[in-house]
Amino acid sequence: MNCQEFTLRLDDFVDGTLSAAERTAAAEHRDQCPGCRAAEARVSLLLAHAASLPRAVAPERDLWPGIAARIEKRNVLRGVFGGAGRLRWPRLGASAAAAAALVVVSSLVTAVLVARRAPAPAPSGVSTGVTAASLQLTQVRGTYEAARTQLLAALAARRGSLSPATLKVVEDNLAIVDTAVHNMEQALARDPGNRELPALLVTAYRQEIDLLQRATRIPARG
Amino acid sequence: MSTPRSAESDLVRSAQAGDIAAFEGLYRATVGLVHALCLRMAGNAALAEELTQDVFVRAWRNLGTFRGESAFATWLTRLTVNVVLSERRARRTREAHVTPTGDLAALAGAAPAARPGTALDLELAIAALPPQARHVFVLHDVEGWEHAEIARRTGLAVGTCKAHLHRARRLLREVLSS
Repeated sequence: MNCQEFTLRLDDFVDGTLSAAERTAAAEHRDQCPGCRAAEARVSLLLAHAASLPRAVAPERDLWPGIAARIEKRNVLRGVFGGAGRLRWPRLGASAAAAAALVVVSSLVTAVLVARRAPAPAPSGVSTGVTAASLQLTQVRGTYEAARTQLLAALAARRGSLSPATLKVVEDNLAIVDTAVHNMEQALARDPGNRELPALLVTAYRQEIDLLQRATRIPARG
Repeated sequence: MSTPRSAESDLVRSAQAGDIAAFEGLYRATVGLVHALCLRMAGNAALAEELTQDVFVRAWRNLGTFRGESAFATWLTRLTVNVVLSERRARRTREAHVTPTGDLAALAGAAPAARPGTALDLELAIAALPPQARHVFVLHDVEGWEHAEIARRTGLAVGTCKAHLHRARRLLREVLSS
């Protein structure tokens, strides 16, 4: 084995993953070559340092309050379907929910159109301020939250009339859309100038409202 | 930091039944492990805190899938890796216009000048690695994962993982010996 071949096999050599024959050849070359011996020593030292790094590093601040708040928010969905009885929704008529959904769908369509017409981003270093799209998105978010709350309440009122299997399908789908909404809101918070995210977010809002509307119309089990 | 296995099992069972206080107990016992992994894989303290929160929110949601076949910390570690890699994929799409050079000059510029060879230097040098090289180095050389497992989680070929590890080790050696 020469230096080039040794260098190619150095990682596997120190990791102990070479075949017996290759390992023997590599060890023989290392013993005869000061340069390759030094290279092996440097890698071994690096690995020793890496292995001795602390396995646990506490965050600088307590993250639990933020986690607990997000868990409680997610429990709203579980609560609708009776998960540990965390939340009780007031009974609302299906007509109120349908009216709310109509309002939010109209707003969502408008928001999508505004977002797609949003002007090109300002040059780097220039604050864009509040755009028509961002203002519209804020308004839509409020309408969406209100409609979502009413539709969830309508669903909660119907809980006893739906089969467990149906409830699970609805709950799973709501969790998926809810996660998508959450991820996009986070992405938008990190990248407020992104022109595509508002339209995607509004689409996710609409999907959740559509899903909730359909769920409130599922026939009762016979 | 660690919780005895039986006490951990009790906390997991209670948390699976919806007991948030029990889940907080699990958080207190494991947050250091999760945060360390997020910090090293993300290479950014603020992002690591955000990812750590994401991990525990997702852990709460997916607790029902934990069957106790491994230690809770092991299950949580896999979940952490998935969360970090998912975030990275999403961010890479958003930041497609930014092309990190990953060259030695950038690495050396990010690494500290003082106390070569210390753990702090190594942590900073790891943070300055190109993302995929950093992920593979942390999982292989810090966490002790096999290449096959890293390949499964990252979607890379085993040979590609080995290439990233080789690059990471070379860059780290050069920085730490400079």
